[in-house]
Amino acid sequence: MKTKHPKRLSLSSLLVLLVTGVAAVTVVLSSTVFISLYTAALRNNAATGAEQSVMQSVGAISNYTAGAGMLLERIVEELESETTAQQLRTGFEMMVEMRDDLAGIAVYTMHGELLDCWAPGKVRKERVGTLQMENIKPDAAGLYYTTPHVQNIYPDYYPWVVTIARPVELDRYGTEILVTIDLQFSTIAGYMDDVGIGQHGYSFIMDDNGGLVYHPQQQLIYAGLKQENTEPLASLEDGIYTDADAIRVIRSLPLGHWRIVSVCFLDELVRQPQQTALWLIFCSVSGALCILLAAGLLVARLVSRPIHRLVAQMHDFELAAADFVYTPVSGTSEIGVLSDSFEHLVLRIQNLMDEVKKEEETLRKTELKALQAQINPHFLYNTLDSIQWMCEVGRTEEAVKMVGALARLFRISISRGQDLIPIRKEIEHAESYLIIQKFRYKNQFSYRFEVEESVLDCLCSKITLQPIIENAILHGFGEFVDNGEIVISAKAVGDHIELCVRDNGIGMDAQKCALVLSQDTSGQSGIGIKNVADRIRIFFGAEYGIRVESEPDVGTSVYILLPQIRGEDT
Amino acid sequence: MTAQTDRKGFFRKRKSGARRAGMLLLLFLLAGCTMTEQTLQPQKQKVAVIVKSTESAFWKSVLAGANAAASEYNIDFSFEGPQDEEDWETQNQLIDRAIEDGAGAIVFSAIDYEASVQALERAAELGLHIIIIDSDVKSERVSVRIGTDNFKAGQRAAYALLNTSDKLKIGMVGFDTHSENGRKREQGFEDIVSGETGAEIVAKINCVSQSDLVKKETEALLRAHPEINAIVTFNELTTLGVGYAIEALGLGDQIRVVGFDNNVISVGMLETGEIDALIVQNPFAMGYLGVEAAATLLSGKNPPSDKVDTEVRAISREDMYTEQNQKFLFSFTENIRS
Repeated sequence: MKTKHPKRLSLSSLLVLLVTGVAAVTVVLSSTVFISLYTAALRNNAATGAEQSVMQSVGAISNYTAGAGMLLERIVEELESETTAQQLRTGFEMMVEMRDDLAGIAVYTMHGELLDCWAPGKVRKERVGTLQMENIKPDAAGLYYTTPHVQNIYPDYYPWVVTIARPVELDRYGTEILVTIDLQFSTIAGYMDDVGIGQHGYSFIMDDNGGLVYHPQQQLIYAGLKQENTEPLASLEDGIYTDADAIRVIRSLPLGHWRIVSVCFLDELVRQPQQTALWLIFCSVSGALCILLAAGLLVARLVSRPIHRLVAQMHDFELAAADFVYTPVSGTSEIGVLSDSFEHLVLRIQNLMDEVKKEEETLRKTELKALQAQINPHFLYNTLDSIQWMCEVGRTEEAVKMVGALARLFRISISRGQDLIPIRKEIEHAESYLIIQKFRYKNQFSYRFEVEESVLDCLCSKITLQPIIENAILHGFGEFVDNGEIVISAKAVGDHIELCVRDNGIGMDAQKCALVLSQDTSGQSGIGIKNVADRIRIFFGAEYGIRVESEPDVGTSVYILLPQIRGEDT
Repeated sequence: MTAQTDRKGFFRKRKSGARRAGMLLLLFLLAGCTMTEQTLQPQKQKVAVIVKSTESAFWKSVLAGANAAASEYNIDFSFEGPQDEEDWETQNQLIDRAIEDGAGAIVFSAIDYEASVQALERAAELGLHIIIIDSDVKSERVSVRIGTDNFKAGQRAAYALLNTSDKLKIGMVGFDTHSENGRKREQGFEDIVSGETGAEIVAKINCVSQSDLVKKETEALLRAHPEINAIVTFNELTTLGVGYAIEALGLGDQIRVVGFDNNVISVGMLETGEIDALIVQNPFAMGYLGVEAAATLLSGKNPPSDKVDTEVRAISREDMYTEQNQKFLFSFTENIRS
């Protein structure tokens, strides 16, 4: 009857799941922690980098504007001095020539009308533009910085410039005027164009109102291809500002209301490295998990495969136990122990099976033997011969006795197929046998019974005493039957019953004693002592049986130990 | 029996488990390989920019724009054009050379609407992307078209010319009749003028785009039709030629002139009166957007649109120095990198 087991997880699956599960959880947790730390570090780096790039630019541009301020000072000094217009012209034109980024020096009225201008090799147009000074506040040094515009003074010359103006009262002009320099962006571009963090980061200059002063992509912005949204930035204080896409750092310059903004993109500085890190972690973790999985499977194999081999062998054993040959299963030490235990189990069971088989055989043999003995021709017709002779010579009483003994002998031998009979009956059986044998051996031996009443109702295996007595007669007395005596006793000894067949025959040495108990008398007539002993053992257990004591030339005693089992107990 | 089949099934499961794990591992290794490919620097793509000429301020602006886009998108580009703006044969040769040089895309401005179609379509067959800037060709194989809406530009020129109380007798000085944008501009102009009662087109000539030749032909036109008090002309070089003619004849105050495009000289003439209004295009944007579209196509993506109209402004003497017009009229980068 097979017991149905509920669907349970196999050992290997459990092992693998456990190992991989724990590993996965650990790794995910530590990766999350790492990634967040890493991202934070990247952001910090980006912000720091942006700030540094701004400070660089601030330094450079500050120097630049300070230099411009100083230049303006010098120009004003020149104008204040006594130099002639011609000398002024030479001097100023040389100044403009020497500086790459100076597009011209000019003097305007406070309303922006051009009074004088100097640039090498150029003469002013008739119609020139007015200087737009609306909404421009002076800076800390009292200078005015315009927004970028196209210089509109000289013919066929239209550079983009920023005009720096200094109001001053000059004797030369008699009234307050604006002394200006027009600065081109070449030098500023040189400072600003390559400053930036990352491949796409950059810096630009804007003024207080958010108007662009210089941007590395100014042409693109003017052509409408790009936009730099400076309005929201204009209202912000100096500082570091992070939004979804970029980090912007704003710093004001000390002069001219200019502010430098550095933009770096989180995408390339944070998001991409982050994604790369995530991807790398993911790949290596997956790889590690796969390896773990494989290792787990391998280990599980080491454990569960042997177990399954074991199970398979058990199954084979179940099907064909007797012929089963066990192949040891190897694996871990526990598996080895299991394997050995199973091997012992198999051998033990096989032994037990053999024993049972043998016991059955013994029992069957006894049946057979008993049957044989029962129809042992020699014994039978010798006895019948004797009976016949007795009848012929008229010894009818003896004949009656013999017939009766014979009948009793056979009846008890059969005992209606029962294996266990009361001792009473066994004694009867023995006595019947003795009666017959005594006559056959012409009263050359005597016998007597010493039987305790109490044991008569206890059971013993049938045909126990008779073979021993037979032995005693045949071997104990042999030819020298004279004065032989057989005493059969039965008494209770403690919890047990002891039967004894004692004779005063020739006796045996120790070797022969042992031989008697071990020799199987198959093939010979009659049931041997071994058979008796075997049956006692079978029916009552190994602690009961036969013991032979013998002394050569003194006699032999055969003790039979039985338990006290009364008839109702069976 | 059941126990036996369980046993077999179990072993099968073990084997497939190992196989599955092996396949997963392989997958991750492959993924890793493709990722490393991504992080490696991509090779620079080649783009051939073939324009009508490389000398005038217009095309120099196109070059500046193309340059800006090329450095932004990491593109290797060549910038070529024939000596004069009528030589479509050289353009076709340049197309062939671009194919041989292994360009991935051609940014093209066509001298002739039809004569370059075959060469371009051959390039398209071989897998090159075709992007048109400024002047179109008659072909379906063009991926993106970037340029001025020339018909509208012609209309703007008409509006600018008509922005006066005088009755106008107009002389039209066109350029190459095979050029698509030339034709379209003339059509746009005529479209507006034909509906005006106070204006009349007196004469129309088409010149080769060389300023000295145009100067001569304009002078001849004015001598032939002294009643002309307004001239419209449709590209940079014809504008210069007309300007020179007006200057030479001293008729700046008498003749109202509307021209196209901006360079230092025509802007100067705008100030001094030979020219009254300029229809200014955005060649920087054309060059930039052209190369940008090429970069997008070469990276396997589709550009946002297959037709882009770049900005056109009518700028007159009165408003040429407004903040917005300054930005449009005067190049920023030219004046830094001198």
